[in-house]
Amino acid sequence: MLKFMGNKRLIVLMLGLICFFILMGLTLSGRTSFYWPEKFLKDSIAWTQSLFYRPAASVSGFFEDVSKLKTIHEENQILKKRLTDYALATQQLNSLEDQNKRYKEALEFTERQKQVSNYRYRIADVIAASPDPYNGTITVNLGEKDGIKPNMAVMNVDGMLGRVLTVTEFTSNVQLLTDLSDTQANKSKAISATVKGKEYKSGQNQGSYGMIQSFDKEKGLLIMNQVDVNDRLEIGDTVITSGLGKVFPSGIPVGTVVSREPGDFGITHKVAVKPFADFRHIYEVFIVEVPEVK
Amino acid sequence: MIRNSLWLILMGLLILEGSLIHWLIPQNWQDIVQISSNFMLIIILYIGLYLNRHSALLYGLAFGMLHDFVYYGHILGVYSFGFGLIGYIAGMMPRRQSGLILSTLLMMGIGVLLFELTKYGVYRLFDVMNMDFEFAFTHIMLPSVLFNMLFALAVYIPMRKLMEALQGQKVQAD
Repeated sequence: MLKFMGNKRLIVLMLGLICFFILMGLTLSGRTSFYWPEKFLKDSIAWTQSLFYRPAASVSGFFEDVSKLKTIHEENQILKKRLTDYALATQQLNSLEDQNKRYKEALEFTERQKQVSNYRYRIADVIAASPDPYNGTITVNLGEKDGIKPNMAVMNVDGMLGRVLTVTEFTSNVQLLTDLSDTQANKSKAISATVKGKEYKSGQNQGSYGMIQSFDKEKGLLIMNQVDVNDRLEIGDTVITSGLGKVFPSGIPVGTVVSREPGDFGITHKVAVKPFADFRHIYEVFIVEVPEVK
Repeated sequence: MIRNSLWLILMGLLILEGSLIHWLIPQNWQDIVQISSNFMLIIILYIGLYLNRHSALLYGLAFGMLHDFVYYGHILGVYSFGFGLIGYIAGMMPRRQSGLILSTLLMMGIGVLLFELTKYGVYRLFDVMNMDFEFAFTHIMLPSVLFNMLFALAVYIPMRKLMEALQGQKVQAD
């Protein structure tokens, strides 16, 4: 080996190696903002990419649609029926909301408590998705200018997708749930979760609770740890975010429980959750903006 | 035009790889395996194998860095390091101008596999994920190698022609 790469070349190679490892070490998941050259590069490339993602998706979607034509008629019938249900539900919701408002006023809720579940859903188009399987990052077309900040929750109509990792002026990078890992250096945030219908309520000690900490890429399942042995969680339950972790708002559907077994230390249970969302083909996402309390 | 063609191609691939490729690979495949499409690496390998190692190194470092910026998730520098190193190694391979398509494809396959191994190694070293090596090898690396070799085969003839044109230009300049 030494023969055909001379001494000088070897030294340069080693120096390059050291420089790159320093760079990698310094940028290890800790950064949420970029310097301006990075921002400029990223925004200009992302803008060009945005011209291609949509047409590519629609062309590929067209072929999928043709093959699904038969089921569409059936689906249509069901959806029509749903629509009437929806109209009814909206009506009920309006009156309930009104009622709720009056009760809240009667109870003298503080401004903070009123605002807490008044989320704004910002629709963002996907510009590009990382081709690297180890790095589940997608770029969306809303950025700092639109008021997007790191750590906002990202979802689509199916359920939870991930969180905003970094923002530039016009775009932001979203870290998908597939990148969740409990290894030391991976600074992904664990999601505090609960079960729909079995939420934790103050004064009552029976709410389901767990932390979604990692994603099992081999099985495609999310792993929820720290579930109490006496927890009422069952297989088939719908897991939603609890909002107790202060990073994500509450009530975003995450997935269904598929298995439950004793955890690594035997003190708590480990629960596998099958995510609702398909992380591969994403057209558009909702970024959930929690209103700030002044 | 020919002189600028290399970086134009690489730039085009950088833009397309995040959008087109996810939709081009059939969904049924994606359920089983996860393919990383390193089309830029294929072009850089062509540069290394048919032009010279220094331009392969430079193109690799520059476009790898662009990729790292655009898809920043865990760490900066993995693609830049991998592209540069593998482009350079490809440039040091003994050159046979016989134009054997099979040997070129084999080199491409080895190059992509080396890159995938580097990437896996760096991510494991910095502890950003703890995926099993066996799973990563069978479900990510091998399918990626095959898929990228397919791309290498598809662009073999146009790339060879382009490389010959570029070489001819260089000889004229000398």
